[in-house]
Amino acid sequence: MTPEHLEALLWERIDGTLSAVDRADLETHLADNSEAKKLAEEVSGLADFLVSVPPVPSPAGLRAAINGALAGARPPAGSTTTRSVVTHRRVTDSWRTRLLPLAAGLLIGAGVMQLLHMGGAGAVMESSVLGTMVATPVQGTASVVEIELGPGVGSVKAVCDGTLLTIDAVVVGSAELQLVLETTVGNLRLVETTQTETSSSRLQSYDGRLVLIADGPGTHRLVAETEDDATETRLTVMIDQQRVAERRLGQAVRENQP
Amino acid sequence: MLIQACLRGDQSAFGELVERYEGTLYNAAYRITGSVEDATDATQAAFVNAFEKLDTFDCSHRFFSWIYRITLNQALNMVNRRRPEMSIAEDTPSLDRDPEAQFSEAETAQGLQQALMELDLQYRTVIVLKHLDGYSYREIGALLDIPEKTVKSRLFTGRRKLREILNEKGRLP
Repeated sequence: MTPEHLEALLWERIDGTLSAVDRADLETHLADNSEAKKLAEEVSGLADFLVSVPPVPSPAGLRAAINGALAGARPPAGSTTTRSVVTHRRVTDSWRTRLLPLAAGLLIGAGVMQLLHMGGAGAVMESSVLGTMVATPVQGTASVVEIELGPGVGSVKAVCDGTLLTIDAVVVGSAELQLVLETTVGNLRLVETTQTETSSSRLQSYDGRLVLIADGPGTHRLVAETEDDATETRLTVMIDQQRVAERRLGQAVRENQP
Repeated sequence: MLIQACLRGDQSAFGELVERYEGTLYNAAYRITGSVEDATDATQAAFVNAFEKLDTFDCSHRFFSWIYRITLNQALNMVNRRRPEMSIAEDTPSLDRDPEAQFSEAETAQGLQQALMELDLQYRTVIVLKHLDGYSYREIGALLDIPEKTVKSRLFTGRRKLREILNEKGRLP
């Protein structure tokens, strides 16, 4: 009997799958072989050790984190569930109505800047880590932040209008894109998430953050609302779990520019 | 049934499922990933995925087996996605209970976890499923979508390697 065969039989005995014939062979072998007995003790010792290991306690905040994430999850198809932990508000016509002056402001602003020769260097800036970002003041506190993630990756555009934040992500490669939205003032409320049919994404919510994880190519939108002032909201963009950009929204300044 | 209640719109029913299985699923994820953070993320993502796809769940099967498989996949994906330059986390969950009384238990758990993390993922996974979560060969094969013969073969190699590692560390009698 080779050591491998012996060990296999010993585990089968412990698993309760050893046949009567093999059991008899094993007992005979163990009776007159001290090396085999030593191996049998080691195998039994490992089995006993594995049984004695206590379960690891889960972190104290795990259940709350799960419930928080569930609040931002899409209800299962056919369910009549309404999500209650995170406040949701469908933004339809009213949102588009608010976007119109914003878009108009963008166009007018761009025209005025060109006329006054203020464009160029002021409009485009390099991200501190990867890609380029365009931050355009629009009206009042509203602004648009655009982050180019590089060729073959995609881009992110954040529009901040008062307390309303709209993040649009276009993913063209196979990378996993994470958008982490967090605020230091009050709470973030998820308004809606949308995506193209062929794309896949999920939303997590924990510690006051909203995290949209987009897997693979597609277009994703995350709309959220802050309680007070969206200028205290920060957007972190991660690609394949690596942070590539971090911007304070509603503040059209170049924080990381050299 | 909790699933049907949840599909009817009773979200608290799903909360009950979270309460019931959160600890066990976290435990399995932790044993696979070796990281509190990854295990937390895997468990959370598993519940969210299960909730969103609840309408696809076949009620003739056990809900726990279904969500266990989702958790397992999440945990395995996290380990596979972990970049090579990132060290394998060896963080150990804190114990809220009396430290003196629990010292031996914690040491045992930590010793095993360190040894498990030295195993290849394929061996670690079958050992966790077999010895820590009590699945049969057939169930492990179904969970991992591999033949029972492969389960046995991986278990054999995994157990042997684990025994060698624990022997080297003086953890076995």
